Amino acid sequence: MRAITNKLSNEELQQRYREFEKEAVPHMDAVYNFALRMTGDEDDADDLVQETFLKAFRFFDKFEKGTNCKAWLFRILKNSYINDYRKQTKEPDKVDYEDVQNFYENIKSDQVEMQHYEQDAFTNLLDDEISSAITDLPEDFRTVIILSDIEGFTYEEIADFVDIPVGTVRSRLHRARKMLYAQLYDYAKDKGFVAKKKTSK
Amino acid sequence: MELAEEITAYVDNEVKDFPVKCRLGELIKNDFPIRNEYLIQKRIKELLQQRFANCTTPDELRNKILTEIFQVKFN
Repeated sequence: MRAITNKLSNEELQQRYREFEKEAVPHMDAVYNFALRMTGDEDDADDLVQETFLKAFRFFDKFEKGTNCKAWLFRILKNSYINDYRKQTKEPDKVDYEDVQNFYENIKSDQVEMQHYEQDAFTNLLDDEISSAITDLPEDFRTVIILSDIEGFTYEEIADFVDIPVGTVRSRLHRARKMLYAQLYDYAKDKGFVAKKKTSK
Repeated sequence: MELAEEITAYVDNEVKDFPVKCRLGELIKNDFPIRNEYLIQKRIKELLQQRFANCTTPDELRNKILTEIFQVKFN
């Protein structure tokens, strides 16, 4: 941070602070949430968010005004997460895409009965159970579903963020939702929110 | 692209080609397995949008970050 003070006058720093407060600070909750979902640990999330915002402030002259500041912050967070956090802890679980494919193929339409939608069994689930189901997803799938369904990024923005083709975003998102559905369906069934299927003799 | 994945794109309003969008809409209306796919994708998306337990940045962390940035200004 000292480098900034060497290069910028106090007036320029004040200007940067004002712009940063207006453009970047309002996205702190979104950045914090994403950090929390990615690390699954409050202390690690705190460190990541702090590092993200300090880096963002330091390099705020690189942010193109008028573009998506939230996406820019998320990119800084992702780089910190990959370069620092994940190296210090552990490599992410390698995703065996064949396993995911097999799992996914096993979720057939016959497991999905229209009455689920009518009775809306998921309504009774706790927010914590939904959060937990998301955390249990493999990282590649968790990332796209959080960015799309919670943060509202477009496929193109997610592709840019994760550095994968748009088609892969769509494919991962499709599978992530199916996996999440299966997980939540199991929770709902265990809690008796879903009527057990009658077996014919 | 698999048809099922096109349904995902339809739910996310990411199908740009209007005739394709209309065709998918018809399939969702008339084809039971496709409709199921659509309902699963839509339900999960809506569930996360509405129910995901979003946390607010703890005040302590927010203040710590802002203080550190603010200190730079007057160093």
